[in-house]
Amino acid sequence: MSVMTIVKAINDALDIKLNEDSSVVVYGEDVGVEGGVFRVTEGLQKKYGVERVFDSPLAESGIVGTALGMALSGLRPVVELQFDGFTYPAFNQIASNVSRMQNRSRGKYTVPMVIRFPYGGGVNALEHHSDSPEALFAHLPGLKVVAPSSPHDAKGLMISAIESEDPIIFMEPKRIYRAVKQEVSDEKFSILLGKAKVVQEGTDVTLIAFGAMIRESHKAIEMAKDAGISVELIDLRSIYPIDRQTVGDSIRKTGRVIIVAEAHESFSVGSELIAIANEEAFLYLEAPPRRVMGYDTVVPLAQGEKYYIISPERIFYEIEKTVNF
Amino acid sequence: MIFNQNKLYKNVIGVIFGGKFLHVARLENGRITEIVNREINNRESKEEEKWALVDPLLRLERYMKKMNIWNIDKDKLKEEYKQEIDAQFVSAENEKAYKIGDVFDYMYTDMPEDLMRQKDAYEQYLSWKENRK
Repeated sequence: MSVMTIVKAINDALDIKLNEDSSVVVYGEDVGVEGGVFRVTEGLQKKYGVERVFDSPLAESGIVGTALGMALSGLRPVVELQFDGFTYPAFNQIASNVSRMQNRSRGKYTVPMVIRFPYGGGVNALEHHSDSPEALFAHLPGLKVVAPSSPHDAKGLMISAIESEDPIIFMEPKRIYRAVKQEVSDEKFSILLGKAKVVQEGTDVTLIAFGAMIRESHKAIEMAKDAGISVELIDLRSIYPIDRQTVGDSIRKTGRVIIVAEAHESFSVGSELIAIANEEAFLYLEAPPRRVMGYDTVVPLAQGEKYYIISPERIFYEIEKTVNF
Repeated sequence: MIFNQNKLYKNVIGVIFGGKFLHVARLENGRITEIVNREINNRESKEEEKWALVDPLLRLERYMKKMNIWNIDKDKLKEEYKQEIDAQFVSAENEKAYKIGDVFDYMYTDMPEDLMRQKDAYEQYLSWKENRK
């Protein structure tokens, strides 16, 4: 066991897979010499050489397009896009080819590649550096979308992602890259994709979150506890496939549900989960399902970010409203 | 790229990469007081010489000179631009506080009702928060 941050845990997962599987390659902008903009790939080029860990040109569409070619030819590329907002130049390759190739080839080819990028706000960044684009990718048939909230999950999910035959969008919560520390096994272990985790059991209301919002939810749960409200917290971990069973079971138990996520609320993971709440637990609901999410606006720049960011207090406000409905 | 609590430069809140220059803003009592330009150059001069042959801007300059239509004092222009960028940087960093309206009001020419609802809900939350104190 070692104490790891999310950055270290992902680095460890990449290290393990690079070491045991010679078909794994890791690349992206500044990934090699510098070790990535957040140093997630630090030390890997030194250890595995420039042929397996390398810098790419500043061209996201090219990074993903070449990775697709490699994946079709027997390699397992893990590519980094520097920020959430830089996935948009790569969107053409992802939506037009990566997500479709297995179906297009009638199952002859698989696309075992991982596209990883830091996502989310709360770090006082520029435009294109604070987005949460999970819904864009989860909406595309053929992709799996993963977002860990802890070092342990980050390592286990990354190993599963690299071993998956399907293309994986791996979203890393940049806000808690180094803020959350945890004892993590040094051995190889994996976490099944598509399984949510009940982080905390409760009886009055179900909170569903993922990534950096788990930490904010924990703080809100403490506030709720002081107000005598018992909250169950589900960490989604996998956006697609979504764990309908765990979500449904919890809502049937508590009768109330609130979704906490950073993305714009319309046409979002929150929308999807409310649909699931209705389909799976309609007769159990005691209050309308609610979303605590970002507004349908561009994430404001540093000075205005406080208006957009979801605070524990805002989550508690919705908990109280839902319980008192 | 903005780095908070940058370890390299204490009291610095902003770093802008502009060509060869690193614009570093010095912060005192919450206000920008100075822009420091530091020249950065990680490239080898051989690489730059090679690029100079194909750089589209330099090619345009050579072409315009050849056609005798070049009347630009590059050094003067560079200095003017540098001053303009520094002034804009200081002005932007010292902008008045961001308002809630600044988040919502520029998304559409006519704000959709649903976005209006979100803005109203946020204001309700803020008054709840105020009353809790």
